[in-house]
Amino acid sequence: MKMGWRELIRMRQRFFLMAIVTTLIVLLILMISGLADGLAYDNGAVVRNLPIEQVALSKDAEGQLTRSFLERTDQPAATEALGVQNMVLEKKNGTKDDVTVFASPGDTRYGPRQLADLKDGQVLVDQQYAEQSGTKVGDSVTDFRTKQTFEIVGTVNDGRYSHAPVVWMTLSTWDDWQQQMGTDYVSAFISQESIKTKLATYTKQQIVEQVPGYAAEQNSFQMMRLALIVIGSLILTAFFYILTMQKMKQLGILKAIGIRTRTIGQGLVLQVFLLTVVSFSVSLLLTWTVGQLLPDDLPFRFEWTTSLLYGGLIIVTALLGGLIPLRALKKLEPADAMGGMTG
Amino acid sequence: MIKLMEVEQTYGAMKVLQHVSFEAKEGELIALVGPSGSGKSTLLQLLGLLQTPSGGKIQFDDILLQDTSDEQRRQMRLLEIGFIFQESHLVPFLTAAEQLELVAEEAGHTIDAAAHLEVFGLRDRADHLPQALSGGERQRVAIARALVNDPRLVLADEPTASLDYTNARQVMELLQRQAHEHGKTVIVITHDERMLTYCDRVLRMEDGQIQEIN
Ligand SMILES: Nc1ncnc2c1ncn2[C@@H]1O[C@H](COP(=O)(O)OP(=O)(O)O)[C@@H](O)[C@H]1O
Ligand SMILES: [Mg+2]
Repeated sequence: MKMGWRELIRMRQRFFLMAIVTTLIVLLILMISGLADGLAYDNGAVVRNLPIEQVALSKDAEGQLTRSFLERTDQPAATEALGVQNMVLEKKNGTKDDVTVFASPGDTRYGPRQLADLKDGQVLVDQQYAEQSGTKVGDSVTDFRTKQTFEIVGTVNDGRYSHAPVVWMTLSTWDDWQQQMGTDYVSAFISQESIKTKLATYTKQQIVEQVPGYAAEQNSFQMMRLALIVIGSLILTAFFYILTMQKMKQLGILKAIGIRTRTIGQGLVLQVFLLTVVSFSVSLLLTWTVGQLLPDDLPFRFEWTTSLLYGGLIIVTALLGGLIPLRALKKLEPADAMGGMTG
Repeated sequence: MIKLMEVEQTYGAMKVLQHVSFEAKEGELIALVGPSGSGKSTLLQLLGLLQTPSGGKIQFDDILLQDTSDEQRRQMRLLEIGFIFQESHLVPFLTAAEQLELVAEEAGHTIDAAAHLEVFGLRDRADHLPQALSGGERQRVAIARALVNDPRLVLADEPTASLDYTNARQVMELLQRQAHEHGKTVIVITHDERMLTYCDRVLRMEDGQIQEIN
């Protein structure tokens, strides 16, 4: 231990270099994780924020809100109706944007608070969308298909579905809009308890996972993350291996003068352990800081659980990799290591 | 104290040592000479329990080495045998004092490293890393390290080869004192005829065979 510690202190440039490489590799993985978590959040934010337990959709919708079309007559007891549909929104200057309309009864707790004050024909838009598209409270926007006009009277946070901005309206505005298209469907029946119905039911998490693009996106990130973990572990293992192997002659001398393999090995374990733990902590801190510094419209989220999980995974593999040379150390014959001693 | 009986060592088909028999007693300083490649280092590694012979017997006091375990031999290397190599082979990141402490602590002793170093004229070098020492100083630290657990057998493989005459003589005087004043058995490989005056006996290796010179 003492020897391992002294080497760490006196050979600090070498260990510092290794710590930097380890930190960068872990940082890369944590940043990718942060991006994946950020996008995952962004993708389903509006659904995630709804205080719902269960969602009933039409059977052929496969869990996608925008594909579900339900008759009001099928509404189960103790549920509320929810309308979700894509809309091509036309601004005053003629430019168009894809948005997703969410509609719920204004007098329930589903949806943003301001919904209760909305009159017919009034809508709320995603805050971030309002900033980026230059639309302001008081503007009116038009549905490109029906030419129906809506007045923006407020903004909501985290109003995104499948990365598209959300426009909130009351169900009565929704019904008007649907009538213009000659239909009277709603999309989902929602409840804070489990729903008794013949319709297909889903949990909130299942609905989030069925948001268009969500699974594909998260799977890509998962692949990327795993590949990085494998590559990172290999690099770190190789690093630690070389670090120990180039000392083999020196370690052979120690064995020759009677130092226990355990004494030498403990020092190596201490070094690998400290190096990985310090690098892990530094990269955690850095990722957290980046999360704080990045502007809000970048989809980056620092989640302790995923950071600890994936960061921990690479650290554990690096630790195991770093211990491989212990076997070589055990088998090392002092006489072989000292080849250079004979004159 | 150490006795070799018909020892031989082969590497593949090559016979490096043949019919090597001799005995070294306590308090003797023995020189091992001979041309390069004649098997001197191999013999010293056998004496130092770093290799096991292909044939013959080595006896340390009344212990036959063939009957010992790896762990027993490691303990003997730590406690009974002191090694001095041609290059000092110090641990590059330990100070002179720490080199000695490492070996002492491994044996379960606590030592006054500074006092040990003073004997070798290294009092003010105790806190220096090897890179900050001269060649002669490094070799003296290596000797101090080899002697720190008070071994009874001291083996040195060309300890003076990389030193100038003055430093070489200092090293030989140190070794001589270990033999004559402390009763240790010291075996030194050397190429330098001038160093033989310090030695009690001279053994000559040639083609893997040993012969005593008077
Ligand atoms: N581990 C080994 N494997 C194969 N050959 C060796 C080994 N060690 C030494 N030798 C050979 O044994 C012979 C004697 O070597 P050595 O004992 O180092 O001689 P010296 O020290 O007298 O110069 C040399 O020919 C050398 O190449
Ligand atoms: Mg030699």
